[in-house]
Amino acid sequence: MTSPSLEEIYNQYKNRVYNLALHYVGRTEDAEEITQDVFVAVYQSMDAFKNESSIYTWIHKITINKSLDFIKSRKRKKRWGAMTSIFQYDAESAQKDFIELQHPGIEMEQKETMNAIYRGIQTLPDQQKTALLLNKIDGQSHSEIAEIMETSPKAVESLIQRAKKNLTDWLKKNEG
Amino acid sequence: MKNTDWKSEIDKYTGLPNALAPEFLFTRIEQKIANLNTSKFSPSFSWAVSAGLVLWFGIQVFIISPNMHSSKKENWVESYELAPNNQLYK
Repeated sequence: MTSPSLEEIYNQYKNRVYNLALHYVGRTEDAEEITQDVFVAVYQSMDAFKNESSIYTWIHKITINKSLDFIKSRKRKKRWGAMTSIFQYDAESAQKDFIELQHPGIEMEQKETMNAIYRGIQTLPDQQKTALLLNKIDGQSHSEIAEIMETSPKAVESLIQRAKKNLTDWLKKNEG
Repeated sequence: MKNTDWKSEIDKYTGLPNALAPEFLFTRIEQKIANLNTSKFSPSFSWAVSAGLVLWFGIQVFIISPNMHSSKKENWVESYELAPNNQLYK
């Protein structure tokens, strides 16, 4: 069996990578940046790919790590910005700074609700957020997620349940 | 947004169609890879060289330079290690 080329891998996974990254970072230009970085990383490690399932798992791992790193660096920049403008900074303005989800599938009348859900997802711990997004947005099974997150399907199920509960609680609390 | 049925709203959110990657993205990836291949130095090598230069500069400023200029010998007689009591030097 010959190994697939970068273009073949890209064509197969581009939309899943981009869509998942978009649900992590919100902005389309940031999701584009992450998608580029993911496939550059794939190119650099192509020799290590053994078979189809490892490519699938690997690409998802890279996407998750790049997205979480991106969010961390954005938070660091925001903290630094807040430190440098300490006299203007307050919690209300930080709340306003929250990134909105620039998803092309969101209609005008849904925008407020969808952004509230997106913001709620951002408040979840990384493990819960990842399990929820992989399951509900990327449509992966518990065992596929378990392989990507290097845990058991039972643990994934528990993470998803807790994520849903925490998300609903956050939304109810911040409603209005 | 009071009394929202969040369960059904979350279902709508998760039911959003997949956002599609823009067409131009693969060209950008190819460009990034081309840039990687043409760049002579890896970022870690560049960092190591920069850190080395900073360290060298620090050593120069804080260790070597003060020793060069802060001679405790107060006049030229002492600095040449000549006998200070010799009247010829007064």
